[in-house]
Amino acid sequence: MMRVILLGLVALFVASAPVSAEPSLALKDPRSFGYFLGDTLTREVILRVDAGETLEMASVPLAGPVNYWLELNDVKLDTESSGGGSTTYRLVLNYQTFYTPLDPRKLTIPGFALKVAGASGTGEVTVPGFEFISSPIRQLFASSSQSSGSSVALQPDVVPYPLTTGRERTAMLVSGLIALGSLIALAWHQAWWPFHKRAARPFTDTARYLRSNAGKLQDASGYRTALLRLHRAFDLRAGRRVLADDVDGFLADHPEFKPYATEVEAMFASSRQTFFGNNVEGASKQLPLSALTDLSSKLAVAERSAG
Amino acid sequence: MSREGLQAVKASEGIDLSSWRQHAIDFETELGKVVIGQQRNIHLLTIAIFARGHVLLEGDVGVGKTTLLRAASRGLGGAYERVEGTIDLMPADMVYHTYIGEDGRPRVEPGPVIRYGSELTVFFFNEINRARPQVHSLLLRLMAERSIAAFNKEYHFPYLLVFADRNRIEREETFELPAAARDRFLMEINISTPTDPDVRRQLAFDPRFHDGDKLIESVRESILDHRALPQVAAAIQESVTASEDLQRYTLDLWQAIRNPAAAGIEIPDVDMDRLVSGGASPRGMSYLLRAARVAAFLDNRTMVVPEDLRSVFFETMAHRIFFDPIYELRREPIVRELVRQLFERVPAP
Repeated sequence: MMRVILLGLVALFVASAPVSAEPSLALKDPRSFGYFLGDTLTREVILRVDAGETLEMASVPLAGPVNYWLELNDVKLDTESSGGGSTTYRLVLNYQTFYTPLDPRKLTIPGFALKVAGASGTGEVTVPGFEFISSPIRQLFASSSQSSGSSVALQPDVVPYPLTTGRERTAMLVSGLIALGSLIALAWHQAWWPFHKRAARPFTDTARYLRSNAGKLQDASGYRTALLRLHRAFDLRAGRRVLADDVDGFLADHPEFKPYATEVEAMFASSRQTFFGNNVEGASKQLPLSALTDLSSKLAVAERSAG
Repeated sequence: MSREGLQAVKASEGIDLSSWRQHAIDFETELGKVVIGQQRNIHLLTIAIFARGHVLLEGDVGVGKTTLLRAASRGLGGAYERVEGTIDLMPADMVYHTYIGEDGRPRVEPGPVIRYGSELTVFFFNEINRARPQVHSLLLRLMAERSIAAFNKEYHFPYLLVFADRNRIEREETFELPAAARDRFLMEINISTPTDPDVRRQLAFDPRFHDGDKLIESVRESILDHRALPQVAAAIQESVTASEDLQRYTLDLWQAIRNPAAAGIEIPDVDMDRLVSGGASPRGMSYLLRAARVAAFLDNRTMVVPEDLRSVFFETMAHRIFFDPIYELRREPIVRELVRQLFERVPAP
């Protein structure tokens, strides 16, 4: 019976005998005591595999919460090949504990398995858990002398330090000003409020009207209409009614029209003949419609050049 | 048209208007030598004389109202009478002169108005606002009809012009002229102190201006023939034309003065809808055109243009516009602004 058992053991040993050498695992663990809430622990796992074997990356733990009190903050893996075709993996795991013990307590960071793929199949290397002692950061029941105001009492939150936003603020101000300026320019251009009363370009309007209606204005009443249009343009430009006697004052106020003083005076003289002298024919001979159109074009150019 | 008017029109043919224009210019120049710094007022006075209209001058004390009117009277020639307005002056005092004769019996003789009969050319009423309303109403007929009834008969004054003045400073013991009396004056001319420093210096330091009587005597007498003036005036009115456009413009002005809000006239602190309560009478408008025609004649034109209306509008129309009572106290600045804006707003032609 004893032999049978011995043989079985030998057969079992032969069956499970490794095909190649075991991967070697070394751990560098931190101290196992003296931890408080929020402390970090760094474990370093050094795995050495033979040639032809590789660590399966999928078996490397991922950063993230491990359980309700433990967080794996950071995982770093370095690979270096050493002599003889073997490979050394250096895995640095950075844990942080959030456990709030009421008395010194032993906690365990759970172990995990690393898978190593080789030519003959996949093997597992178990990284054992790590036990450490976490302590409370204060007495369970604080004595009255230590209660309020003492260093043990709950401290006020740290005031968050202000972010430096100077550049963003400047950028916002500048872009805001640019936007506002553009809006004002657009309002001016479109004659929106408050520019709805801005001086139009009366001479430009009149010149356009006289040019496009030249055919219709050939008769006496057309000549009157043309003169009236010009008069209204002068009125609009001056902001008041301009009579023949006011021409000098008008030209003094609007020097851009000064070069055409004689023509303007001739126009007012012929307007007098037309409207008050009942002499449309004489007036239109003296200053024909084409001359009125020319004058309005010149005045329009002067008006635009003056801005 | 009155009897004199018809006669004047008949007699107006064959009058040399261009020589009369020269006379008018001489008259203005002559007055300008005596009353300096008042060219515009002298021009207005000339217009009034050629439009056969009565004139009321108003202004401060001592700005030359009386001097101007006396000088004008002298330049016009003809009989001249002057009455000082006082609080106890009664209508009878102007028509009759009553006194106790040497024989101890009371005598009644023609008074200042009728003393010269129809030859009376200038009746000068000084300080008219000191006279009582009874006197004002006598003036109404004298001015409107140029006639008066006295000694049981009618007196006619075909050449008569009434010049009056009043000062604006004193209010005690004065009687405001009734609207009807003011409406009969062709013009109310406001005389103010000249602003030109050179003119002011002359007025203060030149001894020529210190003796009023001597100054008046320096005016050439009878530059204008007062007997011919009515015919000349009629001829001017005949010869100077007002086109249809001008008539429409005048009517627009009239409409705008009656309803300034609709014409777009805005005066700060004034409710334009209730500002004008009346006035700008048809007589006023006809006076305006009369004055404008004379202005055109003096400017050597045969047509009335808007500038003529503008040059005489304030003096002929301002005193005929009646405001709501709350604005009457601020009358002067408001009426100036109203007339200024009137010509800025109403489109011409």
